[in-house]
Amino acid sequence: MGEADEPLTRHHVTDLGGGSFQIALEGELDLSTADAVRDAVENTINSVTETLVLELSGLRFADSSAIALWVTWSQRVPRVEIRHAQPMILRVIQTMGLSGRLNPR
Amino acid sequence: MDERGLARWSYRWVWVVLSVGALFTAALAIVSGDLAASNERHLLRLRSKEVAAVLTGALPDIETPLGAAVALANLTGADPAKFTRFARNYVGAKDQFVSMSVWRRGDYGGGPVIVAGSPPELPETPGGAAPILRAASHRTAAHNALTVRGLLSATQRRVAYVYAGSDAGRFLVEAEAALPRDTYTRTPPGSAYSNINVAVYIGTRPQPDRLLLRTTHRMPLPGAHATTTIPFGSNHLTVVISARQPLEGRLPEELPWLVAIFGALITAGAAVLTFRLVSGGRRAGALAAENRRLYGEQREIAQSLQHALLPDAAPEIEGLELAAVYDAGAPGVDIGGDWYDMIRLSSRRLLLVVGDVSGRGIRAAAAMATLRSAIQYAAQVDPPEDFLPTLSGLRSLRNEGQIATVLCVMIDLQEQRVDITSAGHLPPLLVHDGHSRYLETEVGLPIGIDTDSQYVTQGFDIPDGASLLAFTDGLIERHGESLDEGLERLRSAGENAPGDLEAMITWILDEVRGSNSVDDTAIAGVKWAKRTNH
Repeated sequence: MGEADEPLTRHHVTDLGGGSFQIALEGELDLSTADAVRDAVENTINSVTETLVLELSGLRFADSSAIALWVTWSQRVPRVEIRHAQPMILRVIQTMGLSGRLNPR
Repeated sequence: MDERGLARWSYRWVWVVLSVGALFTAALAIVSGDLAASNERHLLRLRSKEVAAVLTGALPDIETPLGAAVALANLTGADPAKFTRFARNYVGAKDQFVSMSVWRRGDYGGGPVIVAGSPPELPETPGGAAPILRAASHRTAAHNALTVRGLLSATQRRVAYVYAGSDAGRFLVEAEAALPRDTYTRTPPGSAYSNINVAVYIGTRPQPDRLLLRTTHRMPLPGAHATTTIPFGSNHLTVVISARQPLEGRLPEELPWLVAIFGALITAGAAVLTFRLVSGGRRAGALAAENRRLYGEQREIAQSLQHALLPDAAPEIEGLELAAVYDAGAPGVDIGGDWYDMIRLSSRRLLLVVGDVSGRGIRAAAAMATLRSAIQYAAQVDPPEDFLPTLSGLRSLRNEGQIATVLCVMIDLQEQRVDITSAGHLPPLLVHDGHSRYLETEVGLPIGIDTDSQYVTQGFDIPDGASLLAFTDGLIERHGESLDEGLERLRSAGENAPGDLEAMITWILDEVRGSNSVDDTAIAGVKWAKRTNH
């Protein structure tokens, strides 16, 4: 499989039980891919009744569209937790005053 | 058959083959020329629809200040001082309107009760102002509430807008916008519209006496053109566009000629081969892909007009230099949602706003326009920490799942002091005496998340001769670089920048921003003059 065929953003959903789910995001998430990811995990977002965990250790780039997407998820689920975000992504979340909303760890 | 007869037969065959070849070639040239032309027409139609859609998007920029003006007039019983102070934001030689006036509902004979700016020319239109104002006073339904009339004659070149607000109000507001004297307006160099001619008419038909403005001297528009009519308040706008250069670019235009030249050089067999290459699957597929890309490109070009509506001339204030720029970033990329605004609230206060709506394209541009208008109105009534939370209720943001970061810098014109409120936005840079630092405050949530969010406003005293620059992250963002690195780059550039405010902004834009930056950016700056006595 050549590089041209590999999707820019990969996502992987895990049911954590008790109404919590984890979405692992890998690669790069920006305007061109945010809509596709949003549509792909729509059902998962609808199923979250506790915490939505975003596992970002494999995400090497996220722009304001990505953050806007996570923010809209945070309005639909009781709690969002971001884990293992790269320092650059963490810094943008902090600068935008969203630490209290997205709970990065 | 004798020898001469044979020779004649051979020649005949050669002629037959050559004529068939020529016929094929001619047919192909015509067909591919036809394809290119119909593609061109299709693209033109698409562009005209988009220009028209963007013009419709300008309606909130007219309705919002007029709605606020009517409310103000009704609430204050048409207090002249309050009205003219409010109108100063919107009325002036370089502003949106050249005239704004208040009329008493039902009593039009005596003329306007208050006039801001130049006197209204509505009374001079054939039939006078009364019939138009009377009709306008009945127009209070939501989508049709704005009355739009062209004041077009040998001596007049204006568009008049009348807004009545509710049925119960005692007053109407009429505003007039000036059109270029000979209707000609130059397309700004480098604008996305530089490859098309645009003519805008008021009404449903492109009649010469209803022309509002045009971007070319050659009228009627030369060549193939496309026309679109859209509702505009109580009236309509008709947009006609034609291409200055072929919209598709050079290859499809030259294809017919290439085919003709190619075919002429070889025989019928080669012509058949050409036919296969031109109309076969691969070529058609490549053309289709090219068309899809071009359609996408045409869409985003229309949105750049929204940014063309950003205030060009900053309000003139003694003791202060004001300058701002919006830079769209790499061409061929969807427009972004960055903007700036400068709102004069009173003789003592000026509000500088810089904002960034998430996403790109028409969604971002539309949300930006709505947000900008809402802030212009809300700022008249409440301080930023009070109106920012309410903006999160704006339907246009919520519907598209967008958020926006906004920075409000409230400038106190007497005390040389600013009050800063940040909704998720980067801090402004203060440059003074070869030193620069960011004025950091507690950052509240971006707009579009929570109507109960809290915002903190913090005040800073400004030293004499200092400059303050508010900007969006498009200025400093570089792929692979952390935000802090970009902020430091801007900070040290500020220390080396030229002193004149406009020169400083231009220099910083060149220095700090990547030359292949994809993101758009807005920068708004204010510079305090050095005071001679304290």
